[in-house]
Order: sequence, then C-alpha cells, then structure tokens
Amino acid sequence: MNPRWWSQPFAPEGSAAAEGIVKQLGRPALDPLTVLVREAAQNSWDARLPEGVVEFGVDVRVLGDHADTLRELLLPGPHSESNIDLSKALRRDAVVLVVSDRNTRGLGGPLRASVRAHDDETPDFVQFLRNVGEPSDHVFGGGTYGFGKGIFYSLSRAGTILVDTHTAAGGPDARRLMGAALGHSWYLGKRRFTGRHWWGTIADDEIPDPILDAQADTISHRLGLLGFGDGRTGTDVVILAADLGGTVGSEPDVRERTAEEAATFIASSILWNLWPKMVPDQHGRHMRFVVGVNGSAVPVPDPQSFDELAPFVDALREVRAGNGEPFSRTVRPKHAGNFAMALGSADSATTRLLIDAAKPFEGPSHHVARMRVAELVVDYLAGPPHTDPRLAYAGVFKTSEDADALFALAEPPTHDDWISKGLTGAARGVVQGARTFVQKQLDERLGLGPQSGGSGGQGLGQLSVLLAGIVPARSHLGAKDGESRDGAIGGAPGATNTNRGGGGEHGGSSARRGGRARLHGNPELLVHAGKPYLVAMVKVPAAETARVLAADVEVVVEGGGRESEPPLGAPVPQIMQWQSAAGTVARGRTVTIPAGQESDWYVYATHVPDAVVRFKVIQETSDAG
Amino acid sequence: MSELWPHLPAVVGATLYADIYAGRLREPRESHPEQTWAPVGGRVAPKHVRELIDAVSTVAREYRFPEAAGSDARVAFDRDAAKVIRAHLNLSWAEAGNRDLWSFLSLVALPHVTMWRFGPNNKERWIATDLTRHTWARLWWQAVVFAGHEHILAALSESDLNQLLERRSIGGDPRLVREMAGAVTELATNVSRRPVIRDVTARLRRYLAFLDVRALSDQQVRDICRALTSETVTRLTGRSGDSRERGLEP
Repeated sequence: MNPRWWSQPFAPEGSAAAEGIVKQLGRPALDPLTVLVREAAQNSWDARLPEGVVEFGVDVRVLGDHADTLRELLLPGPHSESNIDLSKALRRDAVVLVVSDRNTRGLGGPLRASVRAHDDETPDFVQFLRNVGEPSDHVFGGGTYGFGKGIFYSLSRAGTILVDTHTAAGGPDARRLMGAALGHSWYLGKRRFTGRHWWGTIADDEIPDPILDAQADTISHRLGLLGFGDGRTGTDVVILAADLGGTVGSEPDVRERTAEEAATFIASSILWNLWPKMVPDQHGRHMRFVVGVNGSAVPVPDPQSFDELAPFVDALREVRAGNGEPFSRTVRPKHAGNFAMALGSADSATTRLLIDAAKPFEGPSHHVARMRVAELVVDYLAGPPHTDPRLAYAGVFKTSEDADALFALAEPPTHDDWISKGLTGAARGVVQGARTFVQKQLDERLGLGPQSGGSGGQGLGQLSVLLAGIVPARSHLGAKDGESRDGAIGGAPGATNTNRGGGGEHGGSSARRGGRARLHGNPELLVHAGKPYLVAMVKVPAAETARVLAADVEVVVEGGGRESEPPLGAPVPQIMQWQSAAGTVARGRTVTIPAGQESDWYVYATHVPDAVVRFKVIQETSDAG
Repeated sequence: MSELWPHLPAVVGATLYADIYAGRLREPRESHPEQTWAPVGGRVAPKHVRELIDAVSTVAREYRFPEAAGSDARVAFDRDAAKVIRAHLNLSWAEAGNRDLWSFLSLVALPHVTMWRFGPNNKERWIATDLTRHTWARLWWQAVVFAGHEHILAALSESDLNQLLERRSIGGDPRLVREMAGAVTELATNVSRRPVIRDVTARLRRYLAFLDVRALSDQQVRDICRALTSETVTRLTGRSGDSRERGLEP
C-alpha cells in the first residue's frame, strides 16, 4: 500500500489544534537554528546507548533535482485549507535540513499512542510523533516536557517533517519512516480538522501508521537519506523547505542566509551551546558533531582549540572533578550545585566565523555557563567584567543531582533560562540562591567583594580614579566639543588637574553665565627649544568691547586644594605669555583682547616637575567706556 | 575578637565635664548609668574596665601621679600609656573612631589621670571632638599607627606627632606616617624638627595630588620619605642643591 497523507479530525470530546503545538515553544530569544540544535542534540543525548559515542549531524541541502523525487512521493499534500502547501514548498531551490543521530536507541516503543509500552522500552516514537506535552521520563534528561519538538515544524515553511528511524529494539518494526505536518485547523464541509497530518501507511482502522521495514528502506533511499544499512541505530529528521533565517544586521542589509552561512551558524551554535557534550566525561562518554552542506561534511572542532571556549572547558573539568565551589544551603537540598571559574585572554583576536557566528554575548567573556546535570548549556549569565581589561574569565555553574528537578521547573520550554518568578518554596529558593551564589563567587574571585577590617583593606576605586587622570582618554582633538570646567589635563605628570569641582567664580564656570572667556579642553605639555611648557587653550567669545583677561596657574595639593605656600626652594609655575591663534603675543599674565569675533588664545606657563597645576582665567576689566 | 566599650553620649559628657571644670572631680568608675553601647558585639566586662583603670593609674604613678609632674614626665607617660591603652582596648577601627567611647574613658573611667595629665581647661582633652587631640584617643591611635615601630614613636615629641597626624591624608595612612616619622627621626640632632616636618609635609602634599602611596611598596614609600626629607634639610641648612638631583626623577 502506498503511503499518503491523513488529516486528523477533531474528536467529539476535543483535541489539540495544531497551532497550539507550535506556539507551545513560545517566542524564544534564541535564533531558531540555535533552538533546533539545542533541542535536537538534547533528544539525541537522552536517547544515547550505554556504549559508543553519539554522533550528531546536521546537513543543509539545496534540493535541486531531488525536488522531483520528493514531489512524486509526498504529493498530493494535505488539504490546502490547512495552510500546508507542499507543492509550492518543494521547489528545486528549496532547502532541507537533515538532523540525524547515530548510536542512539532510535524512536522505539509502540506505534500507536493508545498502546502501553513494554516495561523495558520507552514510547519514544509516539512521544515524538503523535503526543504533545508528555513529561520526560529520562532521569536527569535535558528535556522536561516534549514541547521542544515544535521547533522542527516551525522551521519548515510547510510545517512538515519526515522521520526515519532504526530502533535498538530490533524486530520487524525496528525500521520506521513517517511524515508529519502541523498546519492550521480547518473545515471540510461540516467536519472540523485539527491541522495535524501524518504521512504513512493508512491502516484498516483508518489510522496512519509508519512505513516499516523493507519499504521504509526503499523510500529512505529514494529520499536520499543516509539510511541504516550499516546496522547502526538512530534517527534522521528531515525538515522540508527549511527557513534558514536572516543574516544579522540592519535593514536593508538583512537577507536570507545561504546554505553555507546556515551551516556555519549551526556549527557555531553547536560550539556555544553543546561544547560540554564534546568534552568526554570520566566514562569517556561524549558526542561527536558533524555539520554538512550540500554533500561536504565537516566535523565541529574541539572547543578546547578555541581561546574563547577553552576557559569554559577548564571550568567544567574543575566542576566534574569535584573541585568546584559547592553551592551550599542550610535547608534541603543542602547542596544545590557547583561553580568553577577559569581565566582566559581578553584580546584573542579570533575572527573565526565558527566562534563569531552564534556567539551569545559581545566582547570578551565575563560569563558563567549555567547547566543542569545533563550538561546542556542553559544560558550564559553575565558577571562583572574582569577588572583587568586584558583578561577574560569563564565560569561554569552546574546543578547538583539533588536540585536538578527544581532547576528544571524554572526553565521555559526552550530550556534557555532559569526564571524564579512563579516558583514557590524550595524551587524558588534554590533558583534565586544560585544566581546570588554565582554573583558572589565572581565578586570574591575578582576582588570586588566587600572588604572588612581595617589594615590595608582600602578599595581601589580612589586609586583608579587617580590613575584615570594619566590615561589619555581624550585627545586634544577629541576635546573640541567638550569644554572642561577648569583647565584639567589628563596627560603627563606635572600637568594634571583632577579638581573638577574647583574653580568657583573663576575659569570655566563663568562660561555658564555666558560671554566670558573660558578654558577649553585639557592643557598640554609642549617642548619648545628644549624646555617644557604648559599650554592651555582659552576661548574668548565675541564682544563689542575690549576686555582684559588674566591667567593664573597654581599648584594643586592633595585633596584638590591650592598650595598656599610652596616648600622651600620648590619651583612654582608662572604664566609667561598669552598668544593668539594668529600669533599675537602678550607677555605676562594679562592680555587685552580687542573687541570683535570669538578668538582662540593660548596661555603659556612654566613647567613644574612633580606637581599638579591648575589654570584659571578671569576677566579683570571690561573697557565698557 | 574586638570588644565593645561603653559610649558616653555627648550631652552627658558635657554635664560631667562642666562638673569637673567646676572642680568636682569624680572617682574613676567602671560604668555610668547613662552609658550606651554599639548595637552588635561582645561588651567589655566591668572587671576589664577596672583593670584598665588600675593599669593606667600604675603607669601614672611611675611619673609621680598624683603629684604635679613636669612636661617631660607627662610626655614620657604618654609613650608608656599608649602601649597600655592599646593593650587593654581591643577595638575595631570603627569603634575606635567613635567619639563617645573616648569621652567615657576620660570622664568616667580615667578622670583622675586625665586631670593629672592635662588639667581641666582644654575641653577637647576630655570630650572627644578631634581624635588626634583627645587624651586617650590619640594615645590609642598612636599605638596603632606605630605598632611594631615603638622606637619611632618614642623618639617623637608631642609637637612632631601633632604635625604628622593632623593631616588626614598623611595621618590616615599608618605606613606613610611611620616612614615619614622614621625619616625625620633619623636626622642629625642639630636640625630642628619642627620646620623640617612642616616643609616635608608641604613637599609630600604636592606628590599626594597625583600619587596614591597605597600603590607603592614599603621600600618605595621609604625612598620617597627619605628623598623629600633630605631635600628639605638641604634647603633648610642653606646648602645649595638642584632639585633635580633628588633622585626622584624616574
């Protein structure tokens, strides 16, 4: 009997409409391709066999000639009222995504949802293809409720997937192949349909069943799938007419990803979201990832080989080895998780697309990868940046087995956050406490924690403020628009001025009253004829009368005050001359500015070694008469 | 663990001081009915307050208490008493900064020795307003600042100490005070210290405008203090010297 599409009618007592199933995933903040990789790999890991390495692959293919075969097999499609247009979707330029795993147990168990599974098997097939929202029965599995599979459908422009599996149970129904589609609920005459459709063999009782055994092999081959001729077990999921999403950027640059770009993005997503699975545990268990595009397959490199990920791997190894810092509580669960941190370099100038494409944060890492016992990254929690800008750090927080179920309660369907809102009791306490615990660990390790006691425990804030003055944060050019309240200069020692609060009736503050001359930008240290001078720029506004301006320069002592009396024999700075931008020179501390347009003047002062000086400009008289 | 000592509220202190100023000196006591305590911590037992009273009285007797004593004897008493005060008062720095605690010591526990040391006229010796001026607060802080370097403290006069400690930017940094004092006390005896400290302090204040000494090593602080002191002495004694030869240039 040839396979064909079958549409699910609403049962008289009620059914789930297809729209609801896709919506159950919510609107994740993550890129849909990232969600796909996370969900699919999680399913594969939960289905791992006791022996061997799980192989997980994603293949991006442009259909090309293959479109004809698919059309032959899958058309006619479901009723057009259901918003599934396979005929339109299966074009030559359409893309399919094939997500596959091997050395997993495949989708086994009963073929029908109404049949009870044997004691030694799990009903994976009906959970993946027929049922919605069943609780996970995997101990410390990644998934919680089977909502994540919605991503397979929502990535398909036709809401259609094909599933080809070889289960570990053996027997005549070990090979299964079936299609499924989620569209809209629709009416045919007076009957209402849910919008769910299956493609398979329609049994005598008018229920669709998967294609089995040799027929499954034949069709699998015609679909161009890898098949299971090598005897291994696992699953291939084909997402028809996949939507690869858009490139990052602002319009109008945004365009659809090419197959190659999508493959790179998927590989990058695997690195950032599944790297813990690539680090073998003490039993050697891990996953191997391969991403292919149009026939060429490339293994995803070891995360340890990337500067950005290596510290995360180091931190995870610490946690696994039991060397992490335990998150201890006074009430049960008393031990709720472990934390470890490793340092890395901040300026690893990796521009490798594999890292950049799906990097979940900007800049150097100051993040903690949070994960449950299953070691699938939930998210990257941002901490304070490292106090040394040359360093990055990476942390891992992993829940304990005792607390795992409580953290699971806090996860949205996409498992990409821990949200304490809505939780109660121990779950709320554990989830909130874990966040505080991690932040506190980071503060302690970065030296940001509160200091106690007296001797030598002063914070570095004041020091860094003082040091900030000698870091040339603003160049002379950059100071064009920024007038400073007084003649502050962040330059060489001997010409700095940190007292921004000073100036009172003098200098810059008078600018606010308008019309007065004011210091502009930071004074500079200039060397002329082998001798250093301090030069401050003064902007003199336009005026209709001549004015006499006086400049003063004084040594600033600790605390920002003016030095009243210099130490014996110590040099004091003196104003030497005014000089206009045009070259006019006025010797001494005063200058007469003629009436006219706004003009720029430079005040020259002698240089004093090992001292901070401050310029002031005041208007002595206005020759109003 | 540090312990809490009683606090004497300022209004109560003012009343007690008025009595003392009027000539009604009280006996030393372990407590006062209106004393208060810092909210958290272990309180000192009355027995320990008595031990302090006895210990300070004993030291004072070595310097002729209760007889009138000369200024030299009283300064020498300060040096010895500082050790005793520091040893008996195991305070956190926060607690040691509480003025009411020091008022309790002078007005309730040690009025007799306070009277002997400074007399009744200077209120700030009795009621703590400036911790560098109060009879007992300044001794405690001196002992803390010069802990392990008591020989430097012993070599300083009262006026030297006041000059060094009165500026918070210098006095607030025990290491800087010690090194400054060390550099000054190393000087030849024919140099008057008062103008030296005054001038060196002025030099240091220029540096502190752009230098945070907490970032320096012990040796670097020592070098700066010595170089500044040497420059000052050179200028004071009239020997010509180019400031560029101070060895401070990088």
